[in-house]
Amino acid sequence: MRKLFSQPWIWALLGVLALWGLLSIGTHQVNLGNLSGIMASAALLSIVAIGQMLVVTTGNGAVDLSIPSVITLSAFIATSVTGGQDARLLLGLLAVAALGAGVGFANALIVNRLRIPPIIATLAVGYILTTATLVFNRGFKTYAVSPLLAYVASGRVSGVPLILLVAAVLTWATSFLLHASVYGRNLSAVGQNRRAAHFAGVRVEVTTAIAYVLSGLLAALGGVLLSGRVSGAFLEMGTPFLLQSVGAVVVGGSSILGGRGNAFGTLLGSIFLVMIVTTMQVLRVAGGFQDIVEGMLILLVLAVATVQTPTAKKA
Amino acid sequence: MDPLVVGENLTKAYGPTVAVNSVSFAIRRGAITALLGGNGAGKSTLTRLWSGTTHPDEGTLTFDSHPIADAGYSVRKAKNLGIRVVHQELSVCTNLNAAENLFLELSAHLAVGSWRRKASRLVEETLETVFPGNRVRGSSNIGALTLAQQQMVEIARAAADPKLKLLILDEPTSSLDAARSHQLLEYLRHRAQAGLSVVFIGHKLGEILDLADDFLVMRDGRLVWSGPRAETDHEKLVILLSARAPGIEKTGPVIGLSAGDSPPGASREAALVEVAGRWREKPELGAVKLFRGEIVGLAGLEGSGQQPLLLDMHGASARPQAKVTRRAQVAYVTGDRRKEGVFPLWTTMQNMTIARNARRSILQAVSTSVEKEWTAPWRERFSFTASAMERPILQLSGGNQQKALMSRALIDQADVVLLNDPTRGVDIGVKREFYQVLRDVARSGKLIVWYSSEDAEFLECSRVLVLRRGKIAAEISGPEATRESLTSAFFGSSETRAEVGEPQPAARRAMPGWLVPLAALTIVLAAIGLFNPRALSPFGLGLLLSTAVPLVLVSFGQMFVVARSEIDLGIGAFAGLINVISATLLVDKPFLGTAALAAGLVAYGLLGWVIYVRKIPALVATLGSAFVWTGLGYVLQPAPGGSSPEWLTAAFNMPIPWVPPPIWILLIAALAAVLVTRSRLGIVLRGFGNNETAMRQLGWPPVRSHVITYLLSAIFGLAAGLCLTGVNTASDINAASSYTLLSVAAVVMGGCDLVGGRVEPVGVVFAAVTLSLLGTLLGFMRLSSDNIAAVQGFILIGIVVLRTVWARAR
Repeated sequence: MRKLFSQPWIWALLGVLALWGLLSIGTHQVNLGNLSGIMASAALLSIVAIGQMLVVTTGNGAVDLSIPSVITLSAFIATSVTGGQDARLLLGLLAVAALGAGVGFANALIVNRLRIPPIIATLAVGYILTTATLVFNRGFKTYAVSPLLAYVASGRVSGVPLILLVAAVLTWATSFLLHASVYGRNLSAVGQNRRAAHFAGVRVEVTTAIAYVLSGLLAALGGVLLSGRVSGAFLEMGTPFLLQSVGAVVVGGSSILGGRGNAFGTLLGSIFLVMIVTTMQVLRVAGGFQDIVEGMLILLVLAVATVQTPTAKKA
Repeated sequence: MDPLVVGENLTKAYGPTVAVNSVSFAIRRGAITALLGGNGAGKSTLTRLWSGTTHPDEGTLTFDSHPIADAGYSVRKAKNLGIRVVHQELSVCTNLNAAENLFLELSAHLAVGSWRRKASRLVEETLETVFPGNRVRGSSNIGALTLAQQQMVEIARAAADPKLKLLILDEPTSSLDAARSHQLLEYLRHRAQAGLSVVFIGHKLGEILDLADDFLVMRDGRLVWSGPRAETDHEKLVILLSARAPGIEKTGPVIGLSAGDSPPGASREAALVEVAGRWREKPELGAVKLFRGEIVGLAGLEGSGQQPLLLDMHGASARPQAKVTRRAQVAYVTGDRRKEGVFPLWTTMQNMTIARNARRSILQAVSTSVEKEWTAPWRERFSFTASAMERPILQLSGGNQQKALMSRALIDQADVVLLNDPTRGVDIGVKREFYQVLRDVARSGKLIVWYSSEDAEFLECSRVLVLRRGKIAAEISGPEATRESLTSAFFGSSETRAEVGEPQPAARRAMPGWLVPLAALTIVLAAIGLFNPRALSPFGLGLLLSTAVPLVLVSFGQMFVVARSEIDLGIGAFAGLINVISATLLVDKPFLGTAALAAGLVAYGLLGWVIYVRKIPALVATLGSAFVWTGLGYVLQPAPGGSSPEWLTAAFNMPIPWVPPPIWILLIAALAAVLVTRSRLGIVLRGFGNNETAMRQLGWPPVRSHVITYLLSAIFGLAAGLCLTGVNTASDINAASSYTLLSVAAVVMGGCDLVGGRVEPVGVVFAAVTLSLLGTLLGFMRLSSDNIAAVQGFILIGIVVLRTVWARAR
């Protein structure tokens, strides 16, 4: 029991349980049907947020600000390359994967080689992608989504959303990567103390580059799945994912300062954030108040749960 | 005469650790007292009691007959009494100049009048008295000085205090060369004769025995001996410090292997490391070859190129034409644990195994049982308990952390082990253990290359390379390495001591940060003029700039947060909220509107407070706040609309000949930002952005300054919101949402550093105007406005790259 409570994601889990209780007892409006809707939205968020978590864990104040632009552009590309045909879905996925990996690689290159702070690098790359999306949008006519993609994004297997299974597998794989692999150690080392990691023989640039590329890939996957859920692509569709992905990372108990990431927590954090939004929709709270609550919540979680890092023992 | 400082039975505990254990002492007036002890002996804690950083749990402490043990005693009060500390870590702010750094220390003496000139004169005079022949000016930027010069400024800053009665120096000579150390010690003797009390903390016993009148020796929190110089000598101090019986004292120049021996199973032919002849003073002597089984010392005066050579060995590859060639894997042990050693979130064991793990392929699994196996021999050798291995490494004492770092390098199994002063600040017991381990490791066939700041350690080496001015000047093999032979090699035959420190390089002049953004702005304006000459008329300019003003103001708000080494992702949304409030509430109910604006400022200050007190990353906290501001805006006004208050509209259309209103608003804003940056308030803010620890040690309140930073940011955000209302005569909560990221871009382009507190208000103006004119320019060029974002992105990367390249070329 004590071990359970020392887990970094314990607060996210308690939050989820509390909200669930509140929703099902308080409003009588929650049934298995909309619960699986919540889970599907949360799964989509968690896919993107896991990428964000990897970048945040590289430390150095890193946040991937290019995620929203990658989501939007890959939704556009996937929709237009696929053209509503299952046969072309693989092609669409490949195109989008190339985009995500390319953006991640570009981010890493700017951060590592040009020594530009991550936030500036990903910001600038995001700007460039925004223009690319606008240009793409001009010649964009398709609104058809491949049925297979729509099924993966919105379908269910015996009541469980398929996309939740995708997210679960990703979470499990990331957990292994973080906690049981050499890469996880390297990433944590880089996030805690970049110089020390270099001198301990960790290849700092490769380690961070992998995190950025994974983040780009996951954002691209998120964009494709999102296009499947909303049947198409529109401008700014990725925008809400910036705060929400950072929020899920923070609520999920990963250290925003880097060095400690947690995939399972990020999944729980995503569920929690989506539940908050749903609760407010169920309660018919006006849009403005929803923003306020979401923002205050992030601040509150940060203020209460930020682990005060131990200071070095003084002689 | 009565003593200056008297302590009786002082005790101070941190949790279960008793850092100072019923210590009683007296510090005489006009005497130099040496405070000695190993790591964790309690020296630093005792210093903190004197300087007001902390208070004793028990016991009495008086200074000049004032009790200074009570809770009301603070760093500020200590300064007022005339107590100054020069800390071991560099405590100057590298983004300020020497005079501004002096102000941070002596603000009370510079409270009135033209403090800049006074401060500049005072710091130059004091520097000249303590360190004659330095070339540091009051206007010299600290960041452009050498480490030694920075240390000199720090010492001079404390010594300049006219009310100085007790000067505490914690290892002040660690980054000074022999000549400068000599000048400092001379100065201290001189001041002591004139009545100043000095406390000198150090590890270099020779220097201290030459200098001190009285001695306080501490071990494990207790005062083990105090007495005058006449009653002690080198031998006695070593015994007191190490608490070992005199019999095991001598370690002497004991060495694994001399040049002729061959370690078992290792080939002598291939040198593991080869330093090309170019590193030598006489290149014709050819490469210096380092072999298995050797302990090679890198000696010389501080900063003669030992560390660069060591780092070159670390980064070396097997390429034959390189300056340094290495033919084996390398491990590295640092003496700077915090900066390049420990991983604070990890256990001791994880810290020990990272180097070996990092050699493996990244998808391989890590396992605790394998890690236990790897660490077992060193756990035993350094007698770590099982629980110490499982605990976070920071809970260990400094010496044990250092042992863990040594274990990390040896578990790694690399054949070359580089030591970067690993015994710095470690007590003598741990040092001895290290010496023995190193001998065994060399004997097992590894090559050890050792840089040390303590000359005595070179007596442990089988060969010593002596560096002078960045070149290998001499090679001394083990038995010939004595203090005398080393010292004479350090200085060379023809040079005298005094010459070595000269000449100090003059401070470099940095390129003004606003130059590049000014160039960018000129290009953009010229291009606009080319396409449409009328755009550059006063009226046209006014029109162009009216859209730029809000972004400039938001960027200033951002700049003050960046000066604190943080980023504000909520300021654009905040300006939007102000836009909404001023176009709705302020028009209908002026009183309520004003109250709402004031509440906005208070909320921002509160945000700054929460961020500081709870140590939340500002980036995420302000991102969260952005949603709160936006949500409030939507609640007040669900769709764009509203109108501008009459007075605001009037202010924006004031008829001033030749100067359109946007331009004068721009000028006033820029002037305000420059004045705030250069003011005393601004210097304190920037000081915190650069070196918070130092600012706290100087007694500046961190929370207040953090709240003020956010208030300043909010004031500029408020001005931006009002401008939006005045210019657009309507409001939209999203009107300024794109400004947040643009302001970060403008601040960076303008020449500010995201970390370190360097700001450049003039550059920010140029950069922000450039960014906002891009839309107009693209319009004139008949390019779609879709391209604005990409152009902004490329310009941002371009300018930052340009600046980096420029900085590296220097």
